[in-house]
Amino acid sequence: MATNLEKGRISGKQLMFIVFCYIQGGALLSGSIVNITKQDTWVVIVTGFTVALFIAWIMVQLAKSFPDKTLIEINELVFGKIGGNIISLLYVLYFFLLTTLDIDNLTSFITGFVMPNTPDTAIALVFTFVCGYAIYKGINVIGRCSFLVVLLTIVTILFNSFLLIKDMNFNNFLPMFSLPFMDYVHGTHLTAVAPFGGSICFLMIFPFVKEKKHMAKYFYLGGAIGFLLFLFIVVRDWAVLGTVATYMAGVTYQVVGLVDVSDLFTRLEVLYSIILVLGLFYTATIEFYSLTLSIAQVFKAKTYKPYIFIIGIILICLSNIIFSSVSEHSYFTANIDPAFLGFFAALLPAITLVIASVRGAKKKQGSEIV
Amino acid sequence: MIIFLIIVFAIIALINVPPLIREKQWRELTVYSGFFALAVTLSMLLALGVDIPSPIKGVQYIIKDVLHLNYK
Repeated sequence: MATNLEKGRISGKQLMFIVFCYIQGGALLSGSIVNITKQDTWVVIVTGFTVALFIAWIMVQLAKSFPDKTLIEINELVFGKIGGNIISLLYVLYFFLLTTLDIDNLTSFITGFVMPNTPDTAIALVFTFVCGYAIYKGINVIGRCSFLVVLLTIVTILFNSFLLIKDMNFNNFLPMFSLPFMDYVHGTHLTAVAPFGGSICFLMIFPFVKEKKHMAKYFYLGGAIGFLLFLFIVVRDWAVLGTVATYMAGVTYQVVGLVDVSDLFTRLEVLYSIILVLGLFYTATIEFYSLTLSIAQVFKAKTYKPYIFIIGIILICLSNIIFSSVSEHSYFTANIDPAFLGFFAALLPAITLVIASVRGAKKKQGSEIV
Repeated sequence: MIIFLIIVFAIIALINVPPLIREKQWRELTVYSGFFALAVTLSMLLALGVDIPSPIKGVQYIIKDVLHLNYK
């Protein structure tokens, strides 16, 4: 049982904050979506959110059909012992890559913009150590810190945006709906799975939520607020920069850097770096937590804590070898990620849900006959 | 660098392994040893400057060249 592995519990509201932080971590690096759909990015975020809601609905239905069960236990119940273990091992590999991609996101941001001469490994080491420490302290601590991060993120973004109002030009959004249809499909696909692609991780956290009754409401709410802020950031960035945004790396970082109010409020991008690091910390921590917990469950261990640091070292090594350049990473995010994340975050859970409901219906029929 | 790595791994093992042995959690210890061996191998190879193929290349190969599910 998962409840034996983790003693900590989080409240519904804390789940909401964690979901929000999780989305912010992925969403603050919105560059790859902006590159595809340019002035119509706001459209694909709205359509992408609609699709993401459907994915979230699948997660909630799975959690409702199997209360107190994590993803790994659900796999074993639905696919049987051998099939379940094979799929769970696939998820372990997926969590490995997902966490590595996020650590790489962070290191390439820090070495690209904030500390250009620091080696990647040094940043990955410090970052992974902090994530590992948070996981070592348990889900309870991760939940309690989340409110602070949410507050800091919202206040910083609203403050920056207020100072940027004078630079906004809403003519940048013209002409509307003039891109090829496939670009909208691509953008929607990427938006639906990229910031929310690891949402399958939340199936590892749902059993530890205290208020089971309102869990779904808080999960949707956290996702909705996260996406709303994401939409707000993308609209603001495009209104300020326009087409120039497609030629830039780290769009939001550059936009916030433009703030200059009578030499008093300048260099505010440092605030953005702080909230980006905090957001990515949450994204990576949730994925890392799911990884260690799923490893412990797949191998039927009694505790997950001894594995944290050794897995952390593997993650640091992987983040070192995973991409040889930033452009390789952005190519992967834009073109390969939709299919990769889509398979694990949407297709596989959907198949699980269908099989679970068919088997559930069969069981019900069987019991009626008996 | 290699000596530094050996010291770090020794410290990690000294922290994690004794409680597992004390509580006779042999299954956990086996799994732990597997991951420990993987971590040591990976970091040693990296420290020696060996080119390790990226696992993401495999994912990219499956999605792009086998399934053709990529966008561009």
